[in-house]
Amino acid sequence: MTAQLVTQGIVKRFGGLTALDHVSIEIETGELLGLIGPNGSGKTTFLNVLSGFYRPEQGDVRFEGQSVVGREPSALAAAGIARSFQVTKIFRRISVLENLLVPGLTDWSVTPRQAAEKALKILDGLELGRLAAEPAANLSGGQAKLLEFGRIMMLEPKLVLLDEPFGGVHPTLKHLMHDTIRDWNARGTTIILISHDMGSIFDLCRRIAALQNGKVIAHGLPDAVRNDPAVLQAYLGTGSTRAAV
Amino acid sequence: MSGMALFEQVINGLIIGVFYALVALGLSVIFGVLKIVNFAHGELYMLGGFVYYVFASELGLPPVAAVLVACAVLFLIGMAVEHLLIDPIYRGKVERVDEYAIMITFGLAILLQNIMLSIFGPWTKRPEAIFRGRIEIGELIVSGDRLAAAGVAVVLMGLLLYVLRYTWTGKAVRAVSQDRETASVVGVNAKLTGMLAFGMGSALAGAAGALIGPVFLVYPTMGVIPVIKAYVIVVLGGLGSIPGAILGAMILGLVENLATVLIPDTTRALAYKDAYGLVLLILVLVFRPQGLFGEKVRRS
Amino acid sequence: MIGSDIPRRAAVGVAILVLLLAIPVLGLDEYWIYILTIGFYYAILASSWSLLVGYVGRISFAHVAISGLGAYTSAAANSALGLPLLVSIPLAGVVTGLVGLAIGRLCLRLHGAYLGLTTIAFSEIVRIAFTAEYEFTRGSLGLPAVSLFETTDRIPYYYSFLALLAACLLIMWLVLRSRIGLFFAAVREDEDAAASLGVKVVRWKIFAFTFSSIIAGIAGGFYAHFVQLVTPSMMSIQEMGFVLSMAVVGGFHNIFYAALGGIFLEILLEGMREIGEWRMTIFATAVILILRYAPNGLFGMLLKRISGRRSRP
Repeated sequence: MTAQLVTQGIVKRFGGLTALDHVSIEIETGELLGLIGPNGSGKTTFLNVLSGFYRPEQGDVRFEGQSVVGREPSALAAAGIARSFQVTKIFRRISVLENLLVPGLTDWSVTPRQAAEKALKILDGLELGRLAAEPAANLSGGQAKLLEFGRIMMLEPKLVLLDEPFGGVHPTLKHLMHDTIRDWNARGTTIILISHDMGSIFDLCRRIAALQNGKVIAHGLPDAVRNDPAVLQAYLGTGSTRAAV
Repeated sequence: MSGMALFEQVINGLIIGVFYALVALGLSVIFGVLKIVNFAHGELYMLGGFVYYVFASELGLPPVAAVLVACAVLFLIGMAVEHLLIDPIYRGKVERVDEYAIMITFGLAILLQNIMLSIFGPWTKRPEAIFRGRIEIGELIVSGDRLAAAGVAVVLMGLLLYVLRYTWTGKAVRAVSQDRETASVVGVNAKLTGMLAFGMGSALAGAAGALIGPVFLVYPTMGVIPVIKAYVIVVLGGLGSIPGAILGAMILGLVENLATVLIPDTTRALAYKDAYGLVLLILVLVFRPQGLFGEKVRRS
Repeated sequence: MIGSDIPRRAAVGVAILVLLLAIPVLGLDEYWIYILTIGFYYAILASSWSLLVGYVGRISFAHVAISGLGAYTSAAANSALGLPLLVSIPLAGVVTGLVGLAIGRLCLRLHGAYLGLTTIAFSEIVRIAFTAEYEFTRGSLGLPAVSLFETTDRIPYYYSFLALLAACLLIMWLVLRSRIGLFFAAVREDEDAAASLGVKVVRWKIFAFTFSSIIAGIAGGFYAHFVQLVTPSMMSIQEMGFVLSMAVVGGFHNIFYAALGGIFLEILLEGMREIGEWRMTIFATAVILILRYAPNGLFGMLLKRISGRRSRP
């Protein structure tokens, strides 16, 4: 049986820099994959390729058997791929509720009332319900990250790509985010999680992939990856002056 | 079309290119440091023309002195504009930064145009030239005032390049252009640098207006087209690239002058003279927005 | 979009509309009826411009050039091709709609100042071309256009333009309060996030340009047969500055405020006729002050005071 997401030989260059160097990886449906690696290893670039923001110079990306390379981000969202952003991109000058209505109403068969009902339920689950009418600009950093989660939930995606969701988040909110991620995964949503927060990675993820200089240097169970010499070298360096992450 | 006449047009094109370069450099400095597109740049150029006119023709100052006065006055005006209108952006007083910068400089442009219209009326003025007479090299005839003005322009550009490369102010300008925050951290006063940059850019524009005044006349709407051309140049050369701006200026000057002689229907070619640069701008912005020398900007 | 003080704002709007309907009957001077009619034209331009710039976030300085194109199209189609006004005016909307579509398509990857520059360049090219092509357009002398009505009475024009303004505002309002308005806001706030959530950013950007251009073009078409002479000066940067001032002073994040700004500034312009040239100087100063200190515009500020509650832009 083919995996849900298959990338083959992805190459992405920026001028003289090769950000992704023949990345081939297979991800099964319902997987909760952690993606780790030092800064500049290509993690966000990989996410950008998967979500349609970058077009790779070489290689193919197949989602549920269909090639999705070169398609617009909005088309990929319709196909079931959703993502969050490292620097939150909430819609600041509209309300919290309206932020969720945007993805909710992209399907024209859904009425505003239906979308609003669904949105309020989701907001309640994220403890943002009482802020529904507030301009999104009034949210704290952690609440904004949760709002991004809420928008993704409106889409009911099959694959969720999270780019450093825990950055600067208060522990209680982080707890809520962990629960939300586990909940998603329990319902069968595939998740790829980029994070430097090793605690969260090892807490949540069933498998881990490690990138360095645009190449996959490890891919497997958490314990195997954490003890992999290549991974240790990437983070700590041996004999060179590279600083530890 | 005789070879000599063609060569004359090439020389004319290059001379005009020098003036364009002066305006474009000023724009480049402002954009580099403050990261905003100054839609009022053409009006600063226009003010330079009027200051020169007032000091040279009405008050009888020697032409070169009047040019320097124009530079000085525009320098002060530029600093004032930056302090009053642009600086609020960096103090967090403005919500929608992009829109604000565009519209307030556009508003400033309209304001300056209309102030001058109100004071001087729409009629053109012909200020004193720096140097009268023609220069003949064999069969080639070049107007002396244009050449002299171009000469002064080249000196001023050289001065700017010297300041940017070798003085502390220049280094500060380059530092803030690259990274405002980091520059602040290492002790550069970003706010003052911003003011100085806007002042310098305005002074250059004013100088260009003063120098071109005697050649192409001074009038309140004289800045509208040149500023668009300055942007053609800056975009063509690549935003932030000084050699690009100079090269772009020369290209534009040449294109305009050669097009008028190479296109068969002369009256029409002349009527559209100002449009060539505009078409070039649209082509560049749509097909190669990074210009000839700039870097491609990454998404996300 | 959701708002809790809409009933109060709607009441004010209805009151203004009733006042405008009643004015000719109340015996206002013919001259002022003429000025108000022009004000309605500018109100249409200012509000459709604010849709593009304020709601979708696409800066454009080509708006008056597009309106001018509409004016020339209708005038020429009517006199040269003999088409009746009932056909030539909608045709103006079709032509400008196509132009708007082309610009929208071409400028997809341009933002902020680059977009502004491109639209200025386009606007100037059009103005220069129409001035130069004397044979077709009679250059600076202007192209004559047949009048909308047989009568020289000002009142039919007044009500026609008021009806046109009301119709345009209604259509724009319906679009903006629908999910399309929400997509516009998403595009304005963050294009990438919007795309990642399934919003067809390309489609809505092009639609915004096309839609606002159609409205500008039809307004231009009407205008041609009102003033009966179409000149390139109606496409100048000064004119664009004028429309921008109206939208900014009124409040360019709201089509109704922008429309009010159009009427208000036109009245002011005429009322200050004695000051002559200094009028535009004062307007430009007002624009700068408002951008700096009251970015939501005068009417936004005023209604905030009246309603007393926190109102959203």
